[in-house]
Amino acid sequence: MNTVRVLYHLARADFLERVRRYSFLLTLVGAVYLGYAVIVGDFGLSFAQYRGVNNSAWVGLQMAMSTALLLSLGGFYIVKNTVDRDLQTRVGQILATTPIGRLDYVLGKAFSNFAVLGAAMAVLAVAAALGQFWAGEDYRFKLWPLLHPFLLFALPVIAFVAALAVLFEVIPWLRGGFGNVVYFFLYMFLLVCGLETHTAFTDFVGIGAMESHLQIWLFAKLPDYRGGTAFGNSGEPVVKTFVWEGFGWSRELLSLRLYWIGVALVIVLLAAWLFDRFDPAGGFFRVRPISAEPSWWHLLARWRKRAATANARGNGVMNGAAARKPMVRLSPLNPAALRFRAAAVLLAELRLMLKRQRWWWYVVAAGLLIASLANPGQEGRRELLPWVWLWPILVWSAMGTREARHQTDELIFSAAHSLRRQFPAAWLAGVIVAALMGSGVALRLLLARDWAGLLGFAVGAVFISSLALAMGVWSGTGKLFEAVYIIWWYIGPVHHDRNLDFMFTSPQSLSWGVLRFYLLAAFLLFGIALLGRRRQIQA
Amino acid sequence: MRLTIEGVGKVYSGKVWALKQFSLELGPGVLGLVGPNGAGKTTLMRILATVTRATEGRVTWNGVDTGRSPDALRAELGYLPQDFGVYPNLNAIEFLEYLAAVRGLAGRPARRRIDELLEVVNLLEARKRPLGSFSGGMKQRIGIAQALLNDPKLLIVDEPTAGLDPEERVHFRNLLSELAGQRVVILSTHIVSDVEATATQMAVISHGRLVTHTSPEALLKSVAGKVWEWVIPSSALAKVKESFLLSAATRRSDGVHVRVVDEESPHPDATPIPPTLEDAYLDCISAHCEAAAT
Repeated sequence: MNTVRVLYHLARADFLERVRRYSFLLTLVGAVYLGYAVIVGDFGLSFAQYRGVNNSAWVGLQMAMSTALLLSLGGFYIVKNTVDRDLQTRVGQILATTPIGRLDYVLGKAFSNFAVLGAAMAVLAVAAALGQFWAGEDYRFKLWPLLHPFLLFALPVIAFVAALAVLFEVIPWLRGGFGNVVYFFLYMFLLVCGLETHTAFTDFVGIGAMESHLQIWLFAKLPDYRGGTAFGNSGEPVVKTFVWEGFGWSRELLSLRLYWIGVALVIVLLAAWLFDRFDPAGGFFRVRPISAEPSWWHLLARWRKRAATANARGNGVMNGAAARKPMVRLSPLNPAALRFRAAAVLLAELRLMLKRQRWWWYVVAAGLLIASLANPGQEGRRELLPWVWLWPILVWSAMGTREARHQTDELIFSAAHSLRRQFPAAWLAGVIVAALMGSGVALRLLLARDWAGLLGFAVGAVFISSLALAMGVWSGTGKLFEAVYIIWWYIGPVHHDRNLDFMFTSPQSLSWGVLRFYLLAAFLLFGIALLGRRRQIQA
Repeated sequence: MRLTIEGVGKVYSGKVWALKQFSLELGPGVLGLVGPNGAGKTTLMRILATVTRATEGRVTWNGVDTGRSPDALRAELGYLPQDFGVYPNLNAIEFLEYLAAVRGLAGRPARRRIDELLEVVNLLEARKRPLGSFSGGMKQRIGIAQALLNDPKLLIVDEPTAGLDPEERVHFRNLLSELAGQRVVILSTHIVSDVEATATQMAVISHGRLVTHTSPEALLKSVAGKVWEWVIPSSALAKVKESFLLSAATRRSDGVHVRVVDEESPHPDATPIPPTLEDAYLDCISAHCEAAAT
């Protein structure tokens, strides 16, 4: 009983903390929009030229599948912040001193995640009910056929996502932006495997299971149905309808979906086992504390500054005993010294961006640079540029959020003209990171005298930096950029979608219209970011 | 140099007034701003540092409205917030170089200034260590150093001695007194001894309102002859706390030495003793609280 009470209060406090934030309101607004999109047919489910008549069962199925599909990706990014928040607010330090067990804590957090996603699911279930009457094809409202697909498909998905988000958070190296990127690839792997193989072990969204069951039913009922399923616009006109009254009780289907709830429980147990109770020195993954000893970066800097240091020592500046003198007088500062130097701020911003990266980050970056130098212009741009500009994603996602995350906002915003001086420097540093990372591709384009390609390269660099800054400033977290960027990256540059390819990886996307669009978007986003920062400064 | 605060008020969430009708005029010297927790000190500091805007009233620096033209003040401002962070992967020099560049100080003068400041705050030996490995007190000293980077004409420090060890606290007080000559320094704290050691003026704030703006000497005078001390058994302490404004209670071998602020002798054994600034502050706050309650 005591455990249940602890779990209830843990999940409740966490849930209330989240639902009182604007981000939860935005989640619900997103859910309402998704509901609308399904009702008006943007996410319509069709089987070749067939679709179901919009009765309770069919509308429920369409909405439940859309919910499962979108919450399985977006939902992860929405809820993956609960353990991190306890770390940032230091509430975790307090919880660590209480008798609460690791399993209780992890389970409580998973329940809270589940409740947040469940709230979005509830909104969509209501939207489904409204959608049936909106469509006006069948006014007989049946609650169970409408809810059944939600329980069968959406519920296991949100249980799985809720548990997996906690697991990612208790593993230190998956807690941040790297985990967000890793999840995207895991999601794509599971989704594609589920669709291709229809195996229970990877089909966590349940599309394969739903498709198999409905196709068996359709083959039996519709003689001219030759197979094929589509979400959204398939290109094939949907001209025929069928009446579908819902899934019957199927032990196989039920066990396929219960399997994922079982997986969610195993993930929670694994997360509890790995959870370090907010002690970075304990737990399975011991976090290397920031060492008081100089790192290789510092050793390099020390080597460079040896002469200056020796000089300083000669002047007694480094004398420890002197430093403990009771009173050291500060010399007055010559007013002429207070002269703004844009290059100094830019260099400082660049150093701030790149300093936090580990040695292996630079090794991979150098590898990508060499690979892109070794590849001819067109091939390098098409195949390598997407990877070259994926690698610094965590550098860009920190843009616009660093001040709030490290609580340096009051120090920086109280400086004169920070909007005019520091902010553009931060943006330009983002552009320079893109240019440096892609310099191999750029050099190849230059050697090939591919001026249009170079222009596309420049527009891409400017657009990425502007997008990162705008999203960082307005969301206050790097997660929004990480999620949006990687999805966009996958659809646009990787699959060379002409309109979404902001890296201009193929000659088809290098049309003047698309270039102009992204250039305009970059300046618009910079303006939006500027407005956001202005709002922060003048709070 | 003149900082003028005229009828400043700040409301949060549309109904909670953290500050109300606050007015003050300041010239060079150290102003000790004291008040209980939640009195509105940090809100006032943030308004003066142009980090947040006042809901009503205005603040002027040398005649320029800081709400309308904040950059005029920011160029001459040094600010140490109550809660601030650092970039954990930078070392002390790199962090100060970054803030110096943002504040418009770069190149050789910046490096010279940073060396001096690190010496002043006793962080020379730790200057190459990542800030993430610093203790709370060391981070606080980095905060003090960054506030002095641009040799500010207006220095605002909010709870600057929090987390400092006694030696560093004394060191900082001396530094503040040293700096006070040709600049306006506002020291917000609830540690009255910090004000006692450094301030030339005092402002007491409670419930978002200015209770008094005076000199420490004048505040001390207001309780002259009103502070009493006598010895009681431990068992009587609760009753004394209930009946009088207790300023201090020290357990010794002969019993508990209680220190009370009262108009008249609270006990036949009580003897008048010289007041401290803490006695005066408690008396001032308690009188204001009583007035506010009635």
